[in-house]
Amino acid sequence: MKKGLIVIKQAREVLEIEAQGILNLIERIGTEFEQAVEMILGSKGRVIFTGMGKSGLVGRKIAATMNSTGTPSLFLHAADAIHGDLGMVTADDVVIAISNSGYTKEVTTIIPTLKGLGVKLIAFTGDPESPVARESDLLINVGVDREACPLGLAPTTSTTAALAMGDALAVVLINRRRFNSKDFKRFHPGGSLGDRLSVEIKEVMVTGEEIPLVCIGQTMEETLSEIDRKDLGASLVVDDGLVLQGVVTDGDIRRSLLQWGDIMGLQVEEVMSISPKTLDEEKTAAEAVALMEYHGITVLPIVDKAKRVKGIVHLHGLLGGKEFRLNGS
Amino acid sequence: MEANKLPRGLIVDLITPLDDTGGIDREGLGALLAKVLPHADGILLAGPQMGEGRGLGLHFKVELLEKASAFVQGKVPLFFWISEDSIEATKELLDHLKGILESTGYSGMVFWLDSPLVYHSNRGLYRYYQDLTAMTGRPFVLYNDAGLIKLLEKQLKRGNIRTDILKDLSRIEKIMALVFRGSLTRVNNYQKALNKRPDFKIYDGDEARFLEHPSLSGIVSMGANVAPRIWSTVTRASLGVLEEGERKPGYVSQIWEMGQFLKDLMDMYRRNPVWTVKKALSDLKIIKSPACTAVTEPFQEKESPLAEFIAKHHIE
Repeated sequence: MKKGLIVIKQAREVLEIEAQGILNLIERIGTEFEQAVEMILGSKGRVIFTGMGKSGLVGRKIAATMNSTGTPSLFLHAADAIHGDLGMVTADDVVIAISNSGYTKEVTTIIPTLKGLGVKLIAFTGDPESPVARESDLLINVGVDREACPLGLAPTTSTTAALAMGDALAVVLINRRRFNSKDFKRFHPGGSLGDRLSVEIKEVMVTGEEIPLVCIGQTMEETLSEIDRKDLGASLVVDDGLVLQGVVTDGDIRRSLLQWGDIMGLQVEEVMSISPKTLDEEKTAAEAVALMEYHGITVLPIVDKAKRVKGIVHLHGLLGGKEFRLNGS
Repeated sequence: MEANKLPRGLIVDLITPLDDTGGIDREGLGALLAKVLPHADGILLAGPQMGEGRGLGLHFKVELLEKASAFVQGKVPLFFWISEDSIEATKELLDHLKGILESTGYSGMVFWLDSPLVYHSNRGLYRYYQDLTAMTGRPFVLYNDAGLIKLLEKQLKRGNIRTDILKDLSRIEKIMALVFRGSLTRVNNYQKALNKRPDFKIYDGDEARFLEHPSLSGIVSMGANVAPRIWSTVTRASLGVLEEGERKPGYVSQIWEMGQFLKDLMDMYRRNPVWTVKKALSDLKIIKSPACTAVTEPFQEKESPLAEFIAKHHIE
């Protein structure tokens, strides 16, 4: 057989074996899985994963998945646990020990201490008769029939199966907790922020009638009314040609009150800040945020080359404090 | 009797040592068992491959079980191949084997290994096994090897147990495992069919397959007759159950080298495993003679390069 064909055949075999390993778990999902879900839901503490080597890496990943889907979770390295990290475990926690053989020494060593703390213990193992399985309150059998790696030098199918079972647990917990998109956003500020800040300003800026806008010569009473109506904490000040002349913010108003007392009769140009920072609408939201953070401002007029006003952005709107939507959506 | 707990690990497909008169080489059997037992998790007797089960008569098989069980003394489970040319002959053999275990009061584990397609078609297999398993309190292990059926030139028979039939058979609690030789696709289908029996084990009957993608139940090994320690180490590594002390720095590369070594060894006995292994064991003075039964192809080579190889590498 040609070298390339051998490579393809071997790769396909690996995928076939690993896929089969996961498929075989389907029938194993039963009352113990249900009990594990209830145990976690009934716990006041966290779900703590522990394991060694590749199983430990799988534990880390499942813990991360649980954290981002509303189940407080952490990973406890079994070797570090022996040397003091067991102190992070409380009686309210549920510990999930991952060991395909069920004989991993570091894991079996910490089990008596965990039991002594009164922790509930779930085993993810492939051998129901192993010490880890026997000592646990619940056994989730993640056993596979065959490893894909020659001589089993690296766990392959077994770690894939444990990972998939962990995902099954996390997903079921999402549904049981009625975890919704709002919760998801709460736990994924990084992800959603990255998405929203990558767009051009014109896609997210406030435009048209929603822009707080007054003209030179208007009174502060009219300006305050405009700021109050448009709810962005500021108003842009323009001339007859919509060319930006300045900005009046809540801060400008506070300072004016301290200086003059009654400001209602003043004209807006007496209070506004002149030469405000601006950006053009082709820039990204990330650049707008960076500019606002650098200068300590919360609103940014968006103008064209002739300084005519095209829109306005608010820092909180971009960072998620206010409702965020793409223009046109 | 202990609970019928299937072993995980290395099952040695033991050759049947014969003396020059065709009888059992009792001393050879003892010496061979003494060599392999410390490393084995199970011993297969009178198997269709290395044990030349197809060439041994009923009384010979009964005697073999009696002598081997006396040596083994329950230290590891025994697997005994019971398939004969017909249903009647198979039942008769089983009856005799059962009798000898009862008369000797053997308390160790014995699993009856059966290749049903040698003497029975897929049709009606479930009912047949309901009947057969009721004959004895001891459990059964199936042996699926399309190559063996082809060798018997039973053209009308299927070479493999049908997947749906195996699924039915798995409902019989006394059938606890399968030794499998065949394609990866078929064994995957078998595993799918056996989903409702998580305790059901599938042992690899093909050493090359095991070294490539190891079954986590274990291997029925031919080469373990001559290299039981290396086979045991590689098997336990593949199953992830090496002892703590065996995981010294660099052990992964050692296991890799051992795996390559076993492949080299396989190349040496691949063409005629029974004769080659017997000749090597005979040259090494473990058994008396390389004598084989009529089912083993005669082999003309006088020297055994395998014996030299074993001696040169100090293989245990």
